[in-house]
Amino acid sequence: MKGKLLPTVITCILFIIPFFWLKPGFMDLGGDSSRLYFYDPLRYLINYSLFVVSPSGGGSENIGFMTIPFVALLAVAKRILVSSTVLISAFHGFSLAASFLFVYLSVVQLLHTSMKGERLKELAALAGGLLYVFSPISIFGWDKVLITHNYVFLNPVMFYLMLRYMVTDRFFYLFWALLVTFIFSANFSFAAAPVFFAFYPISLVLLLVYKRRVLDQAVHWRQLGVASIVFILLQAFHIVPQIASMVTPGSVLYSAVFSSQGKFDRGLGYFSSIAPSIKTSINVMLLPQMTEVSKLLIFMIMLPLTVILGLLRSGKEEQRFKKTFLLIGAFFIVIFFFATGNITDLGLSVYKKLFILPGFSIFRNFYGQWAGAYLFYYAVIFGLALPVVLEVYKKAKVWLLVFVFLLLVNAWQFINGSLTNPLLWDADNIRIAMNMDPNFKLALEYIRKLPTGGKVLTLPLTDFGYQIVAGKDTGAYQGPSMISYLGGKQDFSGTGEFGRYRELFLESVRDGNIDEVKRILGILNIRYVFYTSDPKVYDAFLEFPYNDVRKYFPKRQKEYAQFVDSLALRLVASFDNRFYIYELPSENVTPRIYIAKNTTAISRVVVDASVPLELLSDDIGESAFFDGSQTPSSASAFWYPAESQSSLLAMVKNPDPFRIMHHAFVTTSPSSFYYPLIVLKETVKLWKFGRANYFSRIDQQSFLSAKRILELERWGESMSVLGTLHTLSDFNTAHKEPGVSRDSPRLWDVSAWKRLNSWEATLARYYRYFDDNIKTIDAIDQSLQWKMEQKFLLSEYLRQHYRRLTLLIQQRDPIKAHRDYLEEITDMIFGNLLERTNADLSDLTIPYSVQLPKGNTESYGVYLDKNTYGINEHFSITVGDEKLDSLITEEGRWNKLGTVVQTENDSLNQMRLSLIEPKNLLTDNSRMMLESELSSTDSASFAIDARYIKGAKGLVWKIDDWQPQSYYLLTFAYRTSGEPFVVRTLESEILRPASPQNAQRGEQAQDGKVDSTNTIVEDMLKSPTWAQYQAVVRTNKFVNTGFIQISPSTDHLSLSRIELKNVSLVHIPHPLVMLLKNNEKKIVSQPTISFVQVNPTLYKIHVSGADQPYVLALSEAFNRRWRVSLAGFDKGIASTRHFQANGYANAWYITPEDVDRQSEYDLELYMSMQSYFYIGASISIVALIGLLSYGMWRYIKKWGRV
Amino acid sequence: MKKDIQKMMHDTAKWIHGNPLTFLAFVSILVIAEVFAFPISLDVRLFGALFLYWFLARIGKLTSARVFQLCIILLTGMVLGYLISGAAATTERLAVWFVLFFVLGIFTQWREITA
Repeated sequence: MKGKLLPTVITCILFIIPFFWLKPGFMDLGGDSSRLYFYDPLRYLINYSLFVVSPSGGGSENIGFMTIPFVALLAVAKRILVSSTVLISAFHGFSLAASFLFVYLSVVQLLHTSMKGERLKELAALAGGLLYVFSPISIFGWDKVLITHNYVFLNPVMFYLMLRYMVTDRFFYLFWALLVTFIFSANFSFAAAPVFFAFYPISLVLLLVYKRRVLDQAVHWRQLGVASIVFILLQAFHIVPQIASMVTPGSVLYSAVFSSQGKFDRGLGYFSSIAPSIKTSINVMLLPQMTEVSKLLIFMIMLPLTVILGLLRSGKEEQRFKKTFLLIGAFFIVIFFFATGNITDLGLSVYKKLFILPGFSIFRNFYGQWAGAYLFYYAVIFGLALPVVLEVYKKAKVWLLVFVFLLLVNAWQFINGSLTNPLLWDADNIRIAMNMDPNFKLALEYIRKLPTGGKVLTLPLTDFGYQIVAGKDTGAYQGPSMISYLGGKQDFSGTGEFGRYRELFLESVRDGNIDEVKRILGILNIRYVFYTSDPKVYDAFLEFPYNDVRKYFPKRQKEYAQFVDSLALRLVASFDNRFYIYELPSENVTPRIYIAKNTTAISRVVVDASVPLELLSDDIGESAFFDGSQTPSSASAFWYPAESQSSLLAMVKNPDPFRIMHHAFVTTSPSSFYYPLIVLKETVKLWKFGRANYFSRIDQQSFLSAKRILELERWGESMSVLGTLHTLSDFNTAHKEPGVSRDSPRLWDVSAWKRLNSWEATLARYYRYFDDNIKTIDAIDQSLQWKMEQKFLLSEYLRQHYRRLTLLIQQRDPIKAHRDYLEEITDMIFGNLLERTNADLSDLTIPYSVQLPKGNTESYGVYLDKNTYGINEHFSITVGDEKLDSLITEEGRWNKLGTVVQTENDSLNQMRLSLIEPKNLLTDNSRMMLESELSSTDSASFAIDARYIKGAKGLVWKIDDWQPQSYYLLTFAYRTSGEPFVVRTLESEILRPASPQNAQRGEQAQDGKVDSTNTIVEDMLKSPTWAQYQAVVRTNKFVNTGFIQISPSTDHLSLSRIELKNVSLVHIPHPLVMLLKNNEKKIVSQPTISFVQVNPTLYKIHVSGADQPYVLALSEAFNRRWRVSLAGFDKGIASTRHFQANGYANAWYITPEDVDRQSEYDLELYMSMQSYFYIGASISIVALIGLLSYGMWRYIKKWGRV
Repeated sequence: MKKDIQKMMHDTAKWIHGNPLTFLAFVSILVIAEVFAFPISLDVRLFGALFLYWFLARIGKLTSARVFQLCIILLTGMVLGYLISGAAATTERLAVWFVLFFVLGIFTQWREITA
């Protein structure tokens, strides 16, 4: 054992080190998934791990079963150790010690076949173990770790156990491997899928190849097969529910794995964005990626150097060792590739192709997910190379000592605990380690005892669902809410949990609309508000995690307290004048389970969440609304929102989300020897699409046009200007790609290829793409509206390219030398193309369509939402031939314009809304700045001489009543000479005098102060002949003032002139139009219910007086797996009449037939996904008992033999 | 013609076998020249050069040890590049060359062992 003294000592030291990280009483509990299991493992188990309904927010599906064995073990450990600080320290110590020890043992085992001395092997294994623990990439990430961080020690442990099994064929190792996977099942679950799949499949293949090709032994496939089955059975308690969730269309897991969007948007898109940032050289030296790395860490070059030298000088080694070394090397390279990604274009391309595989998108954050496997194999191969190097190079031992010393010096901040107790991001000197405030504990205890049936709103609200809990002395917890994880009450701690009510809730808070705020809380079943007034949890956090929420809520605690007071809620408890618990009146809160006496159905989801809330009766506690395609037939009222079909709104210059234009890339210059191949490739691709696949052809030609512009930008200075083309027909016929058509030059015509390296050739090809696209669009048999929209998209490309080319010609030498000619031909080409793609946007009539039930003739009331148009705007609605233009009644926010009857020919689909007397907002009065040398013949036309404009201010109109989230149409005719001009649409929020809302938000009276002015649309104006400019612009939220500015494009003053005519800015109306049909035959049933929550997945309900059908609602996130059944029966009732209600909840339309015509009975509301856990848990328990029994039997048998 | 080619190859192989270090130096210079002469890395050049090295090393009967010696040279270049300009494009390209030759070395040594 003498030789084992050093590893034992090091292991003990590593175990002890973390005990110096935390002061007594302090805990590191925060993080994305929290570490509250170290504080109260039992409550964590009950509130999070054991049930499939999430403890937070709306009660969506949550699978946390995989944490059960580990947390249960922690519960036992906590009983023994009592202190959470000791528990955390002991666990960290165990992680470090086990990581080191099992890497050491793995290297020792693999070096077994080496001919080198035992002492050298020992040194090498120790070095490998220390590298694994203290490398520059291992020492980070120990703060706020996820439960899956256990891979740090699990990877070496499992590798060693499997390695020993392969070498010795002893069941002992297999037994312990299986047991370890059960205890740490979180690391073998879907939650840890990336790290699991990054390590285990490759390691298993390596070990199998090692056994067969290196050890030359047969693999016991049967034993391995049985072990695999036992492994799956042991994990069944979380795998079964995970699989059930994965195969349920609509679940989060299903989308992540199977949908194209999941594959590409969340996987490949993310991967492609970070791949260029991952550096091969950094990974070669095992340094951290994407961080500032000190050049002093250059000593890490000894790692790859040692490996190379080891391979170089391993010639005299035993054959088996050489094979081992090379085998590890080969697998190391594979993992290196997956951890780096960006190795040659081919490698990157292959990597991207792998994202087609279902589930591969888990590796989108590849460098982090492969880092663990990469580190392990690097440590192992380093350990294998070391004995060779140490023997061959006499001074290598000194270098090794220096290397280990530098490693430890670099890791000193980790060893002394500085790295594990960092400052919270964006917080004012607050660290993550905290000691629990006893007053907060009291508040938590109080919340635990609150009646079930109402959820909690935790204030201050955060952006991401975190809760901040300040420590008694210093530090703060930042992680998932303790109210839910430890308090056992579902709570809303982040804005994301509000779902579709998020925007409305935040805007209501911002605008001081307390009634709306309370209505939203009520509909979400929020009965209590927990508020922490401590400045340490809000004021001390400068931005994160309150970045977004501070735009709506008060900025400081002082005003926050006033906001809470303005809610006028009943205070039920307070602790230390810092923790307050309030209660909403029960009549304003939708119960957890209730009978909806009033129901409203809306045929489709309306974006503005206040609309359905408005449509409910005032008695929010007894009402429900349904929207979307499925609604019960018994609703009291049916609303049908009409959909705007305006093509104007499809031609917005700045849509949300923004329009993605082709992002071209070019690597081959037109002068390159390879350029003809590029041209041929492009031509073949176009030819493949043919004429039939017109959409792909248009798309591809748009992409190629972007490439041509990029070629001019990159190589235009070296491309020749022939000066040979002067007319549009020249551009149509000249410089065709050789060999591609009958009238093209021959394929072998070298001079024709050479001429492609010219401005004329590039512009001619560019012109022909768009010419062909425009002709194709005109020829296609599609609606006029579609054609307008497609041409608009082309015009967006053209404007962008025109501007870039103009700048290029003006500014770059030696292109400037040919400026006049190039300007002439570009003006000609773009003028022609823009004119042909310009649509007539003068018609402001908005067509609407509405989907109504077919086959009947019903009458519908026509309503306009007053909130969606200006008070001075007046409309007429034409339905077929009938015109509705007068206001009949005002019903709250709705203006009723009349009643229409659906006819058999669906005339209600031919609704048209016209704005009566659209107002031009650009008046003389709204013009802000005007130079004295402006000449004007009338108020509608201007001519500005740029020589006299100081700076770039130009001509500006200010529009005071600029509506947020609205659309405007800007049109004018223009003609320029000289330099181009620019037209910009800008907007800002100009703060008004102090209002109650502003005071509440802590803002002083700031009359006239501009928050920020942003340009939302900008276009170049350049045309020697009269041209028409049209732009539909979309305004953002939080704006109240708009500007239209026309100014020179540069600051260089020269003789330039722009003439303008008929300048007009009009607000495009798109009010919400709804049709209402009241249900004469609605059934009014008044059964009474009482309920008891057995656990978060099971409610027992007693129903009495149910003589007629009724709607039973459950205020938990909608999930098809919620079932209603008669008590004592398994079979669900009304499963085809299960709807989403209130924008998030569940509702069932239950008829007397469903319950055998009883009027009084008991129901069970049950989340059936929980059954999968019970099934899986039974399997796992049987498998565990079987494994333990078999292990015991073999042990006893062995002892018996001995 | 065929005889001329065969003679040329024989002479080349003989020269490479007799002057391995010179050959390695030549390859190193070519790699470094590729990194600095061409602003953009192309797979055609990378894999073409790698294949050419493998072919010439094979006919010249060079062992995997020579590949690893080349790796050391490339690693040195990479480190110098890192010290001068951090993880810049040239450093990265040298790192990629290093990795490619490392793979070639592993493959070559495996063949030597199994042969």
